[in-house]
Amino acid sequence: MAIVMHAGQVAAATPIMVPMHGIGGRQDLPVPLGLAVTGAAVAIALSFVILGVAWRSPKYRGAVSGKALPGAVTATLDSAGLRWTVRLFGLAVFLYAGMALLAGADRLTNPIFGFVYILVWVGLVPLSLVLGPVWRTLNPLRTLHLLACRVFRHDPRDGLLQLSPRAGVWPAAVGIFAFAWLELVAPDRATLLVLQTWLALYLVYTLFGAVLFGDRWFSAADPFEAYATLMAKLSPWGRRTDGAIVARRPLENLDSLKPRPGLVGLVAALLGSTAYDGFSNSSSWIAWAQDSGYSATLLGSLALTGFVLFVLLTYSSATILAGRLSDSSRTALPGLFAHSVVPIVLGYVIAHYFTLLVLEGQRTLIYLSDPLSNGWNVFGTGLLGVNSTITEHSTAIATLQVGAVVIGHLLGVVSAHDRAVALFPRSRALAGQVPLLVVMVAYTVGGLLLLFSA
Amino acid sequence: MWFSRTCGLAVAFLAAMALSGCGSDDAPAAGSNTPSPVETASTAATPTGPSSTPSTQPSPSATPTTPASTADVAVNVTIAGGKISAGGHTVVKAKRGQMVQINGVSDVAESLHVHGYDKTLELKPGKQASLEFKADTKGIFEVETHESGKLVFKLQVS
Repeated sequence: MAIVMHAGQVAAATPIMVPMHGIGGRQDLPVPLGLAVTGAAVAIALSFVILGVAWRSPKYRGAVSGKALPGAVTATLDSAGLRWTVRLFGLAVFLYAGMALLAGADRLTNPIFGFVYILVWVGLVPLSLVLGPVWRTLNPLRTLHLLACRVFRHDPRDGLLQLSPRAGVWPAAVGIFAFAWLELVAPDRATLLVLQTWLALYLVYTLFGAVLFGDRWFSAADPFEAYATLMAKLSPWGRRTDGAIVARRPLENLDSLKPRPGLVGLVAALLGSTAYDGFSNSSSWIAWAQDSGYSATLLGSLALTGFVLFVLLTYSSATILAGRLSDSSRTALPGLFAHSVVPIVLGYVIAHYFTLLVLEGQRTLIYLSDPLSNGWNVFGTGLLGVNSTITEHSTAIATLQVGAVVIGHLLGVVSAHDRAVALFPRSRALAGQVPLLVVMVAYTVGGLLLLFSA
Repeated sequence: MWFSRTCGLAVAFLAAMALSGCGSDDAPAAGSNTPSPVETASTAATPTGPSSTPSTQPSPSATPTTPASTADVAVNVTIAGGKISAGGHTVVKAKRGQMVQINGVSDVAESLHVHGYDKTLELKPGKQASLEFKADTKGIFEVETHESGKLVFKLQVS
């Protein structure tokens, strides 16, 4: 990730180094070539096996599926008491972090950098996978909006204007791109002023939009909430059309993701930016970029945009071609298959950020005890050290990385297959799946190459 | 036709990815177990256990230009006329537990920073200085210049 945190002593008062690029103080070792090749071979071979032998009638029933949790559990989860407890917890964390953002020291021992780049941005993935769609309730800006609406006796759903249904989640896709630019490209992104500026813009964008369009703006535009909601679709928890909270197979849950305008943009921004993160760490790109004479910000912005557009174009053209090959609607297909890219995004994210979350997550929890760098030890974690035992297990890490990319790919292929047999006429279903499969294989081979090149 | 063009783009992108991958992997290593020819004569003098050298040696300013070293891996960094070179290496490989020595000489005041290990080597114009530490964490660590913020090389500890 964009921010370097030092693996040295916690309280080291060394001068602060602002990294110009790179995923962090430490990157994972390149995965061994044999492992990468094996992973690619397994991914390709099993993809075609799935295509050839898997079910011919759709199996997933999306939002109507699932086993309802006991009534008492649903009632508790939906109770105002629990909702408000979670909301106020989210708000309290936000205010605590806000203190470090506004009054903390401009150095990397300020926990706000790790809080935003690691705990929130990376941490929301495991949180949503384990607990499901909780971000909506945790989202402090939603809570602030809700409280303000209570004070003014205003219905939070009402805004001044009607948000066009064509907007879909495009505003969130833009937000995700903006965050990726902040963490991977922005000059001096590990300085307080840059982070303050970005977060101020985010606050205005999100809250002003909520005033204009009502609280539906949060799910349409808040990049954190949109990302978390997407990942929660791979959790076993969902809500059935009859309102019950249910447990269902993650891929069936994923099937319940509603196609909306901008969904393709959202997944393209996530996949493209994660791939760019890996690419921008390769020493040949860095060496070329810093000797080229062009500004690093310009080159980084162009490359990041290029990666996102590459995903957008390859994915869209594959699904449009699939429509042509299977005599189906072409314009709707990109949105109808977008859910199948989500497991691929998750695979990339695990491969790139797992050790980062473990190591820098610990460091951030340590720094959080002293938000203003004045010697506080609020949570008693301030004097702990980072346990970096995980770094010794390089073979296990490499296996996990390759495994995550390959399994993400296979789950994507299965999801797309089920959607294809639901949408395409039976005689054309096989041909219709080929373009997207080819693109997915390309993403996976590309992802493995990035891990191999490190 | 539009599709074939995007396909072409796709191929170009993958090719670029592949090239970048091979590029970094091609980079020669400055000796893993055995010292490589580019190393300075002082480096591989004593093949004794790395632990015999204190790993906390953060102030190179006091170190003379020919340090008595037990380093297993050494890399020479020169900064001249705005050009940074690490003896032609973009990736320097070491095994976990080995001693790594960075020798630097610069025509301007600079400092080299080893991320992750959080070590800094201050360079005064025209004076050689060196930094030695034990590579005890696996991973890839960037070594950057502080003033100009450029990548000097990557230290790959496996």
